[in-house]
Amino acid sequence: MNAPTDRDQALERLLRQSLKTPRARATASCLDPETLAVWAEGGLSGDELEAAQSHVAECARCQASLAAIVHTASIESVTAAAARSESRPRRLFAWLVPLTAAAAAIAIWVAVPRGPGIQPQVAELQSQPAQLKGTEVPAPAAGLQSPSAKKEDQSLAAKADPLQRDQPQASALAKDTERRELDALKQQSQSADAAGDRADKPRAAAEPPAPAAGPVAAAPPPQAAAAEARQAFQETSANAAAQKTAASATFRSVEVAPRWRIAGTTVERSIDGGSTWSVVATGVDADWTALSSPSPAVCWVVGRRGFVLRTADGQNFSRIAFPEITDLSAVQAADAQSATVTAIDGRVFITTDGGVKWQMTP
Amino acid sequence: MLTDATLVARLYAQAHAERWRVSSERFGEALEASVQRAFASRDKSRREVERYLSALHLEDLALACACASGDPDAWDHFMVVHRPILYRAADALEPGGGARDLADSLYGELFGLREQGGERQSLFRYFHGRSSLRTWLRAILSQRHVDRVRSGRRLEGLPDEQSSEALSAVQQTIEPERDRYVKMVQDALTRALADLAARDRLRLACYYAQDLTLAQTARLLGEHEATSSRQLNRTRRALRENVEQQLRVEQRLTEAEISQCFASVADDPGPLNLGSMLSGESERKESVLDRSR
Repeated sequence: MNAPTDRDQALERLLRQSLKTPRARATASCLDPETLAVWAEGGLSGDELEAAQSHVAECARCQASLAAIVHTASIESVTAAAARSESRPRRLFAWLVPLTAAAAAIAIWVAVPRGPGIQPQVAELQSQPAQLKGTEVPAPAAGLQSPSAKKEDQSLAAKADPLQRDQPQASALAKDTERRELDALKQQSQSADAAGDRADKPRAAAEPPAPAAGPVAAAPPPQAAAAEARQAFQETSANAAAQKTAASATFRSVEVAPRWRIAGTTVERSIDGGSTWSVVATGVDADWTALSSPSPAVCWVVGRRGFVLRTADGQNFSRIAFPEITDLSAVQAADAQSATVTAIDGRVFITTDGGVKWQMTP
Repeated sequence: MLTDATLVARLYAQAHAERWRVSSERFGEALEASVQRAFASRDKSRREVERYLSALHLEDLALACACASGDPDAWDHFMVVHRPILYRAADALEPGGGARDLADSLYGELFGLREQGGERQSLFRYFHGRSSLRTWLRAILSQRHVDRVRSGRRLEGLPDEQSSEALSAVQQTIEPERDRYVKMVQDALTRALADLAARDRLRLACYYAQDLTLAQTARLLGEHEATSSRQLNRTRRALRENVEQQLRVEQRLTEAEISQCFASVADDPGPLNLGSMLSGESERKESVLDRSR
């Protein structure tokens, strides 16, 4: 116990214990809720802030109240930031969508050889990421992911609550927004591709096949394609932090129906391609944040406070024990046994035995 | 009157107060009350008042006025928008759902079930629009929750035989020297803490007692996260040096004994009551605060 660091640690321990000792009771000089609220929103300044700090430095009750507001603020900021990032960037970049779709359609039409018959859905999903990467989707798509757009999203998320400006949730939301925009872009390109496919079929039949060096030439065989498609799908469904906003995100299973989505405290399922949705009884009342469905029968759902659900038959969910009571922001499942869950603080938990054991990576 | 009719009319329109059938007079009274509370006895210029009023959460203030008056549409809106917020906050405070009853109990007070002089005493009368309504509600809920937890602690039973406190007591009787060392460090730390500036104490409390992250602590103190981190390190080092100095000079301990002192608190410092140790200092600070108001 000679080294200063050892003594510092001893003192830290003493501080941690001693500073938690509650002080007697509320006094007349305790801060009222409005002052606490204004402080929490960053609205106190000057003498008022100094007086408040002087009091709270001594008052365990006000300290605890302030800390409680900060803790509850994290939830509100996620909601508010999600709501804002849902609406504003879409307005800002609405004009980019048709341009992007057109550019993507042209790029895909040029690059992808047309085969006879209808492409299975798996192959269709698989081809999109490859095409998007391989053809370097031009300016509009790049614009969607430009640093300025990222910065704007992040700033929107950060503005949601001054207490949470630099919280990981904010950046997670910004990333989520980007991902959703990219998903929208993919869907646009998919529909544009399908339209282009139908319109150009006669021409495609008459034209010689595209050179083998194109993106599709590098496409893997069907099994690998399915695996890649699964991977691509999982990527789109993994980071769905703060999905508890009014708008629900949909997550499509790779093979065929059903589709899954979360809407606040409910999990919903569609078996008609998203036309109608029915609430699935999970037996658990929790705020769900993300889900991952690697196959039609399997779906993992994660939520706040360490709630994890899984179905292996596409119908009945059972709760999976999770080692920590912490807010979970993302899940990426490979099958009914293997899943990777990300907590809001960035820690990653992995199970390969259906949730019996979890391994944490910092 | 601190507010003129033109200003009230402009703010009334901004607040969309007519949506809830709040009269201009009623809204003007709410603005007046807000100004009175914010500036109290301070001198204020017209421009200062105007700037203050323009920065208020006017729509929330109008809604609060309407709810305080019992407007059914306003209440419907309040329940739809703010009830989920209260529930989410309650769940954040107590994940098992134990704080939801606190949230539910607020509605009666917000509605104003109690009457005084024939007028309902709604909790909304304490809302002056300086913060958003949602943060204000969270603040009320947080304060109630803290009070309940603290009152619960006072009712907690004595530690059982296997608890750390009981074990610590046994250990202390076995090691009387350790008991003395722990007491010395506690006393020295108490004095060292009292020497700190309020801001430094608050930073320590946020980080160590309230388990806030560095970012949250920094935000509350209005400084950068890196500054908070640096200041925490600096304060901790200053505390340690202060404690060492006290043990060395006042207690006349050798370096070896000082090391034993720190080793004693490193294992298990035992039950501490820093609150009572700081009470003298606390009362002094509070009385200073009282005089300034």
